[in-house]
Amino acid sequence: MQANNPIKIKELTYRYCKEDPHSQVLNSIELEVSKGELIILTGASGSGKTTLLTLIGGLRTGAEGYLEILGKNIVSANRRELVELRKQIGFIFQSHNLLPYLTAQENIRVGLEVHEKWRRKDLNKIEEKCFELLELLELSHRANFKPKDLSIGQKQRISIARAIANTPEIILADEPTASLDKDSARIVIGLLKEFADTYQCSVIIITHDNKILDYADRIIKLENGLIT
Amino acid sequence: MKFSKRIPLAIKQLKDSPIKTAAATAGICFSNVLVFFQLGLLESIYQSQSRPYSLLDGEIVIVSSRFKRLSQSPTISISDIMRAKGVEGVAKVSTLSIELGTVLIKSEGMTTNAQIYGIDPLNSALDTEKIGLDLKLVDLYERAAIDTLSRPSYVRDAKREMILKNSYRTNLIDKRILINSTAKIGSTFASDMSLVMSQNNLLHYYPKRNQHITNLGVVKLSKNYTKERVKKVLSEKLFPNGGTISAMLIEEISKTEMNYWSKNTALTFIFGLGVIVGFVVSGIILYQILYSDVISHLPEYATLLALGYTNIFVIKIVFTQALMLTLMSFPFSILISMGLYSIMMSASNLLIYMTIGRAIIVASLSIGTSMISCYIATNKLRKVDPSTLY
Repeated sequence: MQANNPIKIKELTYRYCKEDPHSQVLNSIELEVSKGELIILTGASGSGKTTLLTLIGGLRTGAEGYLEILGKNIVSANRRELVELRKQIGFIFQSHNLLPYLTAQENIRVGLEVHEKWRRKDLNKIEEKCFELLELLELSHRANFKPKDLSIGQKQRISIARAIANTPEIILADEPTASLDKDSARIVIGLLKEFADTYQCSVIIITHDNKILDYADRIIKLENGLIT
Repeated sequence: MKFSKRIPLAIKQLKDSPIKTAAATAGICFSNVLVFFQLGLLESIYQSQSRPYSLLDGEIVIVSSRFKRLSQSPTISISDIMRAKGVEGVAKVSTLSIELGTVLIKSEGMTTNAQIYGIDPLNSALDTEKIGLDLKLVDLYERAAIDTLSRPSYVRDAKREMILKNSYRTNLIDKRILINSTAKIGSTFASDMSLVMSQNNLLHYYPKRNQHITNLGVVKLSKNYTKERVKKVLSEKLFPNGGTISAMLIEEISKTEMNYWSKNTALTFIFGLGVIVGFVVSGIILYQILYSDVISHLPEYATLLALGYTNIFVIKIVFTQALMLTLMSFPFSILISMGLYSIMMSASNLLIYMTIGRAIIVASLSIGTSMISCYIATNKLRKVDPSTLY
């Protein structure tokens, strides 16, 4: 294992129910992801892709084995440590999960305000950053719209903006292009690839979309909880 | 330079569902009004019992040592009371006799209990300016003044006839009585109606009553004498502890009256229970609202946790909402309660009004209840983690 790799996984096992061996979804997973690498994770439904992603993102606990994220083994991490970890990871959900009562710009701002360094800045700087991201994603004209007034593709782009706002070291995306047309999907993945290259951010994307496989540095297939 | 403050997520959530917010505010407002009503009514009922004392023309009262309440105050000798005249600082000593009698209400064809106050028109124990009493009219044979704060229907009939015929003719204990004037005293538990008449008229209607006895002595002080000092002298020299007669300040006898009603009736228990029910209702309403709010927003709260916010941050959002709903409802609670008080006053002549003290108590208890409801409703949030998104 390389010392500086942000993600290092060794013999990682996860069961939904500890007493039930049939509930095992991950079986001794071994994986290492380098800085700036874009990995696509594929596999059939129920193969353990989302479980693996959520474990890497610190959204789920209870795994056995070794799971080092940004230099820390989080298998035995406490709640506080997991909270700190999540701040350093940009998570893009399958169903965008924007807050419905906030505008596009405010949804991005929520992703910044979790960090104390942004809370200490003046409001203009934060709004500038939000608008910069909206422009990058060609959504500056929708800054003051709430999610109910945005298309699915626009919502997903806002979700991406929120995830990359603080320039995280890891981005985890669960089916980010599932609801997007071919062109929008390529734009979104293109942005993530560019982000990975520019900021040396490790990106793991779960997808069934074959049209974007060519963006990946590596494709990993999960089958019955094992990497094949 | 505008410094960044966090986006007020609690306010944004409330603003996003205006109907739900309005319904929640109305629910809390309703239970606050319930509590205001109970407390206001209870306080007013007790205060009404002690209101007659505030109408006395003096600062000190002389009563039997067995005195418990005004409507059944034991009698004492007039001559004993008049001994107070010799005490330094006493400007005036008067007497007040009290009886209960049945008065015929002609329009309803039935009788009602009335409290009858007997005074000496030349030396009135009641402050005639405060109660608006014309002593010359009351001094006439078989005449009395009606308390205009008696039950409104009784007063209405009397006033109508007084305008048409100069007096309202009816019966008091089967004897003719002519009500020819008015006074403002106030209803008590003992009766719905009060009459004020001269001592001589009282003896006419109650011939078995001894003319040398009365129920209450009233001492008015000269200028530059304190009531505590004069009371002390009266107690030490004329009416010592352990004797049959006591001297009390107006505040002391008011308190004695209120204590009697609070200990000897179930009012405090009944209204106290009403207050508790009001707050339980408020707590349940708020719990329901907050719990369903937590469940409906669970994916959003899990998203915030996934972004790196803590469970405490998320719980604070709900607590802030609970506090805001409670505070928003309060001005409406006050206004509606004041309206209800006004309706009650005109219907019953009970003096009932909003006080700052009561508003503070209800506000504090309302906030306390909302915090408890919120604590229970956010139990799920203490345990939730972002994996609930999956």
